[in-house]
Amino acid sequence: MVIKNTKILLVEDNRDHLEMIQMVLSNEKLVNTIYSVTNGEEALDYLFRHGAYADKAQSPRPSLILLDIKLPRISGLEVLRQIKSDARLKSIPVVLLTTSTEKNEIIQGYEYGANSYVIKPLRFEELMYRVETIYNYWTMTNQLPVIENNGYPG
Amino acid sequence: MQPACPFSVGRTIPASSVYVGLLEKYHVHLIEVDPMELAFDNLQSLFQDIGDLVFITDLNGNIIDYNVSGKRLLGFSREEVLNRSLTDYWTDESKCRETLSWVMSEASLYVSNLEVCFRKKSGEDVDISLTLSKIKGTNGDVLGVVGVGRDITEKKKIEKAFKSLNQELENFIYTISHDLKSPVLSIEGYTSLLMRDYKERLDEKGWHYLERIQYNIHKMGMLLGDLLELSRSGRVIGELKEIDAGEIIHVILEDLNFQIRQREITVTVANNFPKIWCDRERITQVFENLFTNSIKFMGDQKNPAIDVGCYEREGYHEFFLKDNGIGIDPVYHDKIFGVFQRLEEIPSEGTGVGLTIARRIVENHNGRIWVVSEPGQGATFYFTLPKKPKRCE
Repeated sequence: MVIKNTKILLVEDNRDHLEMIQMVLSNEKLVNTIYSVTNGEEALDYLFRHGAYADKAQSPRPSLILLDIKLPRISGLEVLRQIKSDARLKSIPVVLLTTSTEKNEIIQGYEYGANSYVIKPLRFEELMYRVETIYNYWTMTNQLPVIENNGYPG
Repeated sequence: MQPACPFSVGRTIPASSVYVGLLEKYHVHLIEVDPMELAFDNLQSLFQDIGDLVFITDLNGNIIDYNVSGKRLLGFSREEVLNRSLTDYWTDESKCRETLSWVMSEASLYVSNLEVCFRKKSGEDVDISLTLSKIKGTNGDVLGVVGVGRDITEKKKIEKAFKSLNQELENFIYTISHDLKSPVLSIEGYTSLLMRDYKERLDEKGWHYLERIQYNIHKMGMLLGDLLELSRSGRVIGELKEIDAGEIIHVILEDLNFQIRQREITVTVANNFPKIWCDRERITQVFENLFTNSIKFMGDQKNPAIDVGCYEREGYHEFFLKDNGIGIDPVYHDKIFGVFQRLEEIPSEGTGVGLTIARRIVENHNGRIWVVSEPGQGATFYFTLPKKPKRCE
């Protein structure tokens, strides 16, 4: 099976976790382009093509978003809410990343339209499996129809 | 012990039947030429000098006497309160009527240390610990009620401060253990990557160092997980619902099926489990922790067995879980419910927070948990749950 190059937007403020998740997603089995930002404001700038992200070619629309819940400036849940209330973005699957096992946050996430979530484990190996599984599900078995950038700003 | 005699009658014998009753109740006898005077002197000073508020009401709950300490506490003079209803001072009027009629009823002996609120003359409220008992005449007729109230404002203040400090501490533990997870994942992640990607370039010593880092970080991760679990068990208690306790046991036994079969444990479950008012998830955790604990400390018992059942007590259910494992020396019986108190001489998995969590959950349900055991004799864990749901504030 030929895997199409998947564009993933990774929103994660912890640079260590960012690097580790990038490593999992860019290993030889997966062919991906990863765009990463480290806070909620930047994530929205990227998705709505503001400021430094105005260039469509440099910041293409992702086909999967991995979004940390706890983010500086604008929270992950707020970013999620804005994604899911935008007609052009809401079809992009969003997977929440969290260290918390508190149900409330996750339930809130689902209320805002999150597609899935990953609780970051304390072992890298487990993180690797969890991210891979979620990646495989959302990019291969459950691929959404490609929608062209109709009416997309910029 | 006889309660303090609530007299304030001066030196003449009053006509009131209440006082006649009191005389009889407190065994005032004529023993000398002027005994009445002497007795009243003593009783009068006892009534006035005692540090607590003392009052007497008639059958209708109207105050017919009241001491100096009462004035000090509430600000009202004796004259101001005489013939007024107790409900004028006790802020919860319906509770006041209910309690008075209960105290005066045939069935009650007395009501002690009831925490109530009285209104002062200044308009402020004061917390009082109140003890009420009835006054009976020689023929057994109830004549009224005597009440003794102690100012517990300070106690309440300390309790409140203690509660808020405790809450703060729990939040702190929760936040810390939660926030520490991120760096633990980072350290674990990078050592894993070092071990995976730089294996060939590491000599034996370097590899050993990395292994020790990994071992310790895993241990730290486990401790953090337990700490988080523990602080959550104190912080969060869900809605109380009426749940079939037998069903909880049933679900747990299914979950633990593998461990039970692996260790060939005979589990006997009583068939009289009641419905209980509880937070289902939390009480499930209590039973599960007790089961896991028993399985863990089965030792080399040839015929391992666990019995689980329930006794009906007045006002509460008493659950028990009895095993025939290695048992626990009585010197450790309190210790095992403390944080991270695994008994060192017993090799086992885990960090030893299971029983602590169980205790916190049971106490949050206004129950009690304890163990009866001797080394080599197995252990029986007991815990209680009130039949009527009552939540901690």
